[in-house]
Amino acid sequence: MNPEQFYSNDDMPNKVQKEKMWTAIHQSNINKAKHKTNILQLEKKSFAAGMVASFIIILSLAGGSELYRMTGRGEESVSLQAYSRAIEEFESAVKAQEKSMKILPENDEIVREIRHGRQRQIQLIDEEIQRIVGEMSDPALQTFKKEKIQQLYRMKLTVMQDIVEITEFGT
Amino acid sequence: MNSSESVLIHDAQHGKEHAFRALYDLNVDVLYRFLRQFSTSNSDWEVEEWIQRAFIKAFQRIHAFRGDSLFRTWLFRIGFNEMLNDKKASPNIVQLESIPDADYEEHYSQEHEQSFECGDSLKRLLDKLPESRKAVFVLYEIEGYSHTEIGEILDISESASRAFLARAKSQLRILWNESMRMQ
Repeated sequence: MNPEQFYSNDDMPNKVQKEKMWTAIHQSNINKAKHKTNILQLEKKSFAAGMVASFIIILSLAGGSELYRMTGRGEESVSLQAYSRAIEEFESAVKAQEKSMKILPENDEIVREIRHGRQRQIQLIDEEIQRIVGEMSDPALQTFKKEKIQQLYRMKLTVMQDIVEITEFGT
Repeated sequence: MNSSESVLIHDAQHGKEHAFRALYDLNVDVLYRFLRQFSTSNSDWEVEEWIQRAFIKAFQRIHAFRGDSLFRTWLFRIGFNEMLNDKKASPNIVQLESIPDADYEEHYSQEHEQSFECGDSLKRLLDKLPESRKAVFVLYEIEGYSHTEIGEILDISESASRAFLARAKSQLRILWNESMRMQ
């Protein structure tokens, strides 16, 4: 039987319908796949960059500490109290962020993978913060170290913000 | 699978957008007209929904397509399942009939005996058939698929496809005679 004899014009989609359907298919499927690929590539790059930045700070911290010991110079003009307050603010901001992260879903494999990498990054930063805090007994190094702790907290916040954005994208 | 379709499939598997569009353009009309035969809605949204879901799933699983069958056959299977899933979810539950392979011979002898009027009257009669018989009839008689291909689309055996067709024709004949008597 010839299909033209069986089907009527009503059985065929018109141009507008075809474009409408294609737009829906394209948006929900191909764009999503592309975004996922791009995000994965982007995240791999930014994760690597983040790790490099962590090491640079850790190295500069170690180098700076050594320099302090060698020169014996302290920046007395910087208020230690101001640094302490700043660190406290960062800590409270980080805690609030950590709370909101716990309720985010992990229903996407790629997002989970990226998030796992970011959490490892946070772990490294935390370890470094703990190490510096443990060495705070040396008054000559306090100003310098508090500044570095502040930097590390700032980095930690950035990483956590990344996790929130990645997870939100994946949902 | 012809060579141009192989190229398109290969390109789609490598994420090339033009290939997705070409595969859509090549197949949307035939899938639409087939699925429309199962729509009970007066508007087009129901068929459009099945079409969209079929293409989205096909494109998402394009890497799993190995070319053992035609892309269109594979797409028809996805589209038909989308339609069936919706119908199963509706109050009027539709199930594919099960036909033991042994029953096939009984019906096959009748298969080539009958012919039917084309057009709207045939569609009206087809609407009274179970989905499975209707699907086999349209795929075989109108779309020109082989029983092997119909088996792949509907996930039934080749012999079951033949049996469905024979039953469909038999039922259509009865319905046709009834409608003639009423006129």
